[in-house]
Amino acid sequence: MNRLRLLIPSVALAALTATGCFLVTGQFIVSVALGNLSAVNGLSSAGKYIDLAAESSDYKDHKSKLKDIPDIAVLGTIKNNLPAPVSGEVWLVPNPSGSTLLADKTAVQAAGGIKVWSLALAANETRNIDWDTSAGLFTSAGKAALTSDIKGDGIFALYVFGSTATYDLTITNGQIVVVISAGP
Amino acid sequence: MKKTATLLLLALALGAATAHATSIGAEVYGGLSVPIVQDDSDQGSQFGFRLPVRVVPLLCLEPFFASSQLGDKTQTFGGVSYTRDGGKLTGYGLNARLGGAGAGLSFFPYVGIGNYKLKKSGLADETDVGYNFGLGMQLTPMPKFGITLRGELNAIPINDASRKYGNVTLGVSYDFLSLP
Repeated sequence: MNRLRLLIPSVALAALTATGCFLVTGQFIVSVALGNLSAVNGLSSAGKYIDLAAESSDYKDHKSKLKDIPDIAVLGTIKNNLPAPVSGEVWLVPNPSGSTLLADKTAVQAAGGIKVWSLALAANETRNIDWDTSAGLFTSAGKAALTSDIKGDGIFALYVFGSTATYDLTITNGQIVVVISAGP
Repeated sequence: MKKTATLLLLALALGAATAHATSIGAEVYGGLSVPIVQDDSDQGSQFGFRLPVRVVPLLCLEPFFASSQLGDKTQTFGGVSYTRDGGKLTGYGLNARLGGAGAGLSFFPYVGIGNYKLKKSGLADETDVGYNFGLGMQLTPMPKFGITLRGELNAIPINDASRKYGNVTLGVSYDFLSLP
């Protein structure tokens, strides 16, 4: 009887461990500062070239054992400086040719850019983007593309544009936060 | 899900009857659920119920329902604090426990399998099969009535990784049907 009592948890542990060692994974947070950005139509693009391995030691440490990206968010404060509604958009260029940012949204689209995130703003509205809200604002295609890139080389570029022809957005203390599932 | 759970309970009741179960009971429990190596959720509470069906004196099958409200996690980025919903985990399944039927104080190991759903604000619900195993201690101060303390590891594989929780619960059980 005592032997059986020991056997059950031992067999269970062995079986769980044998099925791919999923037990030894965890969820870790990786964040990259986008900083303060000004996105205005007709001016230089606002964004950032990101090499995650260079930006985050957590990502670098877990990159080789990365299994999944369960959660992504864009955080910070975003202000619409114009008296007309607009959506603040974040675009992803998965395979940037270099660290220099592209000129505008047309160039981003031509380079295979994908809209990954969007937040509607009223005229002159300022929004503090909370984590829960932001996680739900990713487009499914954009999230898939960003997830694929993070699981790949981790090198990409993010841009901020307005949804209308004329826009003036200020992003303060912008952050991209990624939850990764990875081994030790 | 409700249909599956009902069918499972009916099957167990029938199985218990045909296997000449020695007792059928009910247990309510509550306690703590602690996410293990999860930066995006914090310790929370858990409650649920189990329906112990003692098939033979040393083996007890337990259909169970569990619900955990995990704690929100606050992290600071660029000097600003942000809070992420810890999520709500619900699950139902079946445990098999060995022993633990004696009068007075008894100990028992158990293993289980269940269907779990993780709901987290802003994300699509995640539903997966999970496993749990642990050790329990039961105090039976009078016939049919038990007080149970359990510690278990609950692991839910998701996309080649897993979410793991350490649960500590205290339950009160009553055997409402005992067969000779």
